Amino acid sequence: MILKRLVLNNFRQFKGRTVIDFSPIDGKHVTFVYASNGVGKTTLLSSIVWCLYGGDKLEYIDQKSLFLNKSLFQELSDFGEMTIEATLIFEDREKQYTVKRTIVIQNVDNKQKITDQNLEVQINNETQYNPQDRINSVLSPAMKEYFFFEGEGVQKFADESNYKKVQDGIKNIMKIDTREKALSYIESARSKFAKELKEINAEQGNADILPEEEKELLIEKQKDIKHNIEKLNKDIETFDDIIKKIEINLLSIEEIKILSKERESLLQDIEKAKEKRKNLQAQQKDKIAKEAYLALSNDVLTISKNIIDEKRETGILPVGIRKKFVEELINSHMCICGTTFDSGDKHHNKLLNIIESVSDESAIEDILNELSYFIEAKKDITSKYSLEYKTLSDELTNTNEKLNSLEQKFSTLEDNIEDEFPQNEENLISRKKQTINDRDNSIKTKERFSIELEEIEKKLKEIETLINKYETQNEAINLVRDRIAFCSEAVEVLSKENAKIIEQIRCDLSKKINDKFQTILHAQKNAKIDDDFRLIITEGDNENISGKSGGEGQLISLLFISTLIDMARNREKERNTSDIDPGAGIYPIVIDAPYGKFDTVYKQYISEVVRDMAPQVIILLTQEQWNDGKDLYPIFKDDIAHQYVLIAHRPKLSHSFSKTNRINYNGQSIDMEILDDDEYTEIKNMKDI
Amino acid sequence: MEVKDKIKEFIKEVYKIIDNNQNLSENNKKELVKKEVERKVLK
Repeated sequence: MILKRLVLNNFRQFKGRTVIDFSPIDGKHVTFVYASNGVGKTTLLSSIVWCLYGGDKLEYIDQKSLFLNKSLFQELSDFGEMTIEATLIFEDREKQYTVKRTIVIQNVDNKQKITDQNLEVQINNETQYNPQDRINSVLSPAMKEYFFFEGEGVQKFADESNYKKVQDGIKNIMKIDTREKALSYIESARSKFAKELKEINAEQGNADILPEEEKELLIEKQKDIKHNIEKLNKDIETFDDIIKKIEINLLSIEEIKILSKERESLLQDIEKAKEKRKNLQAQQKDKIAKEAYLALSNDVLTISKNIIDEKRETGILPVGIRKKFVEELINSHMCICGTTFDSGDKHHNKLLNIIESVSDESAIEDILNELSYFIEAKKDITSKYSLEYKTLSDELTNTNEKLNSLEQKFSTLEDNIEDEFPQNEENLISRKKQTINDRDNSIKTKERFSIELEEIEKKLKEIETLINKYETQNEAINLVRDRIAFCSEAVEVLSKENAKIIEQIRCDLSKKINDKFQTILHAQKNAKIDDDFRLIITEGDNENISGKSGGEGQLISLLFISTLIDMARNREKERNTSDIDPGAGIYPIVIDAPYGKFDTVYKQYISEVVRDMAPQVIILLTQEQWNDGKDLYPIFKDDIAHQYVLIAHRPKLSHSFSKTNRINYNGQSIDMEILDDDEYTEIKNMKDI
Repeated sequence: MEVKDKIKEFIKEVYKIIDNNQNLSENNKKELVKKEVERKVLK
């Protein structure tokens, strides 16, 4: 942290806008501000502290809450308000910080009342969300008294009773406290994880049987039940099969019964047909015996008739109307033309004429015809017998066919009947009943097993859920264990590192303080930082005589701070960002009146210490302490970057004006007090004078 | 990343938590460190 500029606006004595540059120039790092007592040196110091850390009161200043310039406040009407502002620009780790703090003062009953306060922090022109955090991360408020202090007050570090401040200072500045805090936070995280682990373990409880074991048992049971159900299914299937077969047997038996009746009837029919055929055969035999010749004569007659017909056609035999035929017509009074007639009429006479002309030779033909008619009639008789016989034979054949078909059916039915079952219908029905009973029992058992199986499956699901939950919990347990292990490892690494670094810092600090102490005082006294980080001065056998002398105490305190800041600076420079080193820091020193109790020799000692104590040193001192630079200039001449003088404007000059309120610079005498109607402090860069 | 490096990174993060959150209560800062462990050691 290197201060670059302070801008004040109506801050206490500093009326209007006041700007002070602190930036080191060409490696020159010291700024002097000279002022008479009560003009504004301490206000400058406290304005820097207030700008950084705020508050309703100003540090190092007795008066309370007098933020606003007096003359401006007097101009304020009742309840009138005015804003006061302090802006500090500084650099830290290559970033530029602009810290602007404002406070609004109201005139209430002629007293300054704070009505509002505001802080704005920009880092590289970017406004920050948590402005105070950003400042604190650069320079903790606990450390401010090591960097912004009154010279006389610094003595406190050498006071035995303030050893805690020394400890805190070392720990703060060397970031040992950061290391210790880091360690304690990691340990705290580890404790929290351990607590979480305990809670998860408690949640799992202590079951008599592990869910995995229970799952195994249930799966085994599930397997048995499934096996039983499978077996029962097969049994049921077998029972169904048996029942079906029995039913088929029963049906076959029933059908056989019907068929038997049918067969019986058919057999009777066959017997009857056979009997009938037998009779018919006998009749036929008899008929043939008696009239078979007729059957044979038929052909002879047919041939004879054919011969006669042939003879007629050839004219060998006579042709004409048969006499008998005409006589029949006359007897029936019917003409050949179809007309009926009475005796004596024309048709009758005609027929009588015909009869006279008809020859008697047609009688042979008539005989032949009669014979032919007879044979024809007999021929029908044999045909009739033949037909009857044929019909009967057909009937017999049909009946035999039916019988054959019936026999086949019998055979099929008999084939259907399983031999393994009783052939008795009654026994078969009883067997069926028994089988149905067995099947029903198997179904019931199966249902019972199925219910049991369902319960097991339900239970398995529950156990599965539980196992999943445990697995999730186990995952969580493993994760928490990993985190605990991680914390433990970090604690181990950090503990070792801290122990090493802290001891190293303590030894280095102790040695450096003692070296400087010895160089400056050349006394038989030694300074050291003990194991508890206390600043101890020893003289012979006497331990811890620090603070016995005011000047010595102040010197030792400054030595302590300067050594500390120097070490912090070196540590920060050497910091390896890839390493687990929080670093330390580069800090300025703003010191008010460091020479209060010292004589010339001590002033020179102190000056050398102060000059080298920090990369930036701002010294606020009176012109008396400066003494026109007679004692101090030779020590600081190569390091002075800025010199300012505070000029008091007052309506009435102080009585010692001519003697003390003047400072010499480059052969010029500068008045530090000017008669003015207004009362305020003006700051001037001595280069501009 | 090796465990050793992971721990180094983590400790650096813890330093940042301490530096950047000085206005937070101790408990909150401890909680932030715990959360950082959770981020570093994931499932």
